[in-house]
Amino acid sequence: MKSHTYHRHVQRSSVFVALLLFNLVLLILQLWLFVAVLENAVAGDTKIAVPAAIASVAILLFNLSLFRAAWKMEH
Amino acid sequence: MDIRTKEDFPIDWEEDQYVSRREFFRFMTLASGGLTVGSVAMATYSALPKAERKFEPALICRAVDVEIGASFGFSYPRPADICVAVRRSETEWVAYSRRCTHLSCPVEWEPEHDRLYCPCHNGAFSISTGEVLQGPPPHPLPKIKLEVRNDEIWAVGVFVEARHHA
Repeated sequence: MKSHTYHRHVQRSSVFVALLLFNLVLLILQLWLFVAVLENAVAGDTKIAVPAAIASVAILLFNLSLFRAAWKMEH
Repeated sequence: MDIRTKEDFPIDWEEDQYVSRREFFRFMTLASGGLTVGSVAMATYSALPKAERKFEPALICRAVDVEIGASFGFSYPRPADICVAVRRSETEWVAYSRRCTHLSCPVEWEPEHDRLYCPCHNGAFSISTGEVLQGPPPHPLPKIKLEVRNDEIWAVGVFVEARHHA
């Protein structure tokens, strides 16, 4: 029978991977936003630049909170 | 490998080359920060006022040399920036970049249709505003700001107005 510590370790590892994958999805979303802004800027339309920047800052803050949570979990 | 060495160096050489999950997480968060900086920079750039780009004024012609309804070509602000000016009435002058916003073919003044026409792909622009009237051009023509000074026509700036998709 596996020990309680072992199960805790496995659970913690799963949560870490979940946080990491969520971070990855948000990063891809952020990259998509940035590319959309650049494409529109090249086409002469900069209307979406400010909303995209606000969304990007919000995603960064969320990513930082995820990173902090993962860091706390490991230490 | 003896036990002592194994204790001092618990990670094999090959494993040392791998990026740990923690390092990957850190890298992703840093990348997120980088994209945010880029997005904020783009937003700041887009918020800067740029309705009119100012250049050194340049004399392009004398009013008496151009008949009403006639057009003439000139370069402004750089020698490679070809433009076309049209005298629409005794006092009204308009000028635009001559490069079609589709694929940069030179546009031509068509007085019978009151428009600037691009023969490459059948595009046309309004002579009054530079807006796209037909064809594939995605944006209006940049307008050249003109001033009449003592019977002389001077180019003094370039309007880069908010572009609209046709």
